[in-house]
Amino acid sequence: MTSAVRVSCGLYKMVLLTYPRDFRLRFGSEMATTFSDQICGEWEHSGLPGVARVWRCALREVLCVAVPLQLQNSIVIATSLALLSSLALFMAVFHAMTHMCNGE
Amino acid sequence: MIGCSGNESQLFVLSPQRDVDMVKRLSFASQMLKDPDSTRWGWSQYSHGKNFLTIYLILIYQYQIYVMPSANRIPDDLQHLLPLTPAVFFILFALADGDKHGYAIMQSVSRISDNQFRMGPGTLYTTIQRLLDLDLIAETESAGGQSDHESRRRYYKLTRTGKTILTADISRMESVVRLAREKKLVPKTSE
Repeated sequence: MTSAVRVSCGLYKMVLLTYPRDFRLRFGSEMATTFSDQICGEWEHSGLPGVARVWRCALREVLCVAVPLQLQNSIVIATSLALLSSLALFMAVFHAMTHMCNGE
Repeated sequence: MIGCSGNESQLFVLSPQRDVDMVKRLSFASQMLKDPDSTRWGWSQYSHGKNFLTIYLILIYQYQIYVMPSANRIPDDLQHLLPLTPAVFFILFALADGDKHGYAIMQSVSRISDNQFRMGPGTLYTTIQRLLDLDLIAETESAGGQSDHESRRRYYKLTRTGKTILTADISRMESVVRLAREKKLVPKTSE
């Protein structure tokens, strides 16, 4: 196995962290094995462009699959809403203070 | 082809030929009941024609209820799956010719879709999870090879319900293609 393939497999294990914990426990090792097979196959047939294609697909799946799965979890939704509302409040206060300073 | 039986609205999966035969027999029988003289076989000459016909209809009904294998019925809770999504269809289709592990399913899907439909491990395993939960596929007992890499593989097989729903979707597509041919939307040479 070449270093490119080894690095890819290692990085994919980190990408797997974006998937929900239950799903990862059930299918994580199998997904890593399948990704490794996919990378090896593409490396042999198409070289670097093939590996890039596999990575593009894997990263697209983070947005299209992992994020919606995470959003099904109510804890994640609550945390995200809390962060967003805090950010909105901070921005509002910051905007108001900027106006006050400019007024003076 | 999916047919509807009586007031119970039970759905059956029939082979296309058997379905056509059944529809022909039922339409002939209903026409007989309405107007026995109109049929060219001259059933009206029989004095007990209607009684005979009633028994015939009851036998057809009994056949649909008891003789037809219950395995061919699509459970009500799976009706919403039709038409199947591309990922579900291709995974079920890939498993139709034998047990496969994840990577083999991916390769098979690539091949049968002529590289038009590609999926990564994320799409593959979320769909597999859904299909396992719906009992459309099952994990097989057979273990992988001796190596660590092989032993981490899990093999999946199509269940009877999975096969039924796949057949129903293929029949639906056949009907669509047949209609498209009638409307001359697809060339007849593609048969």
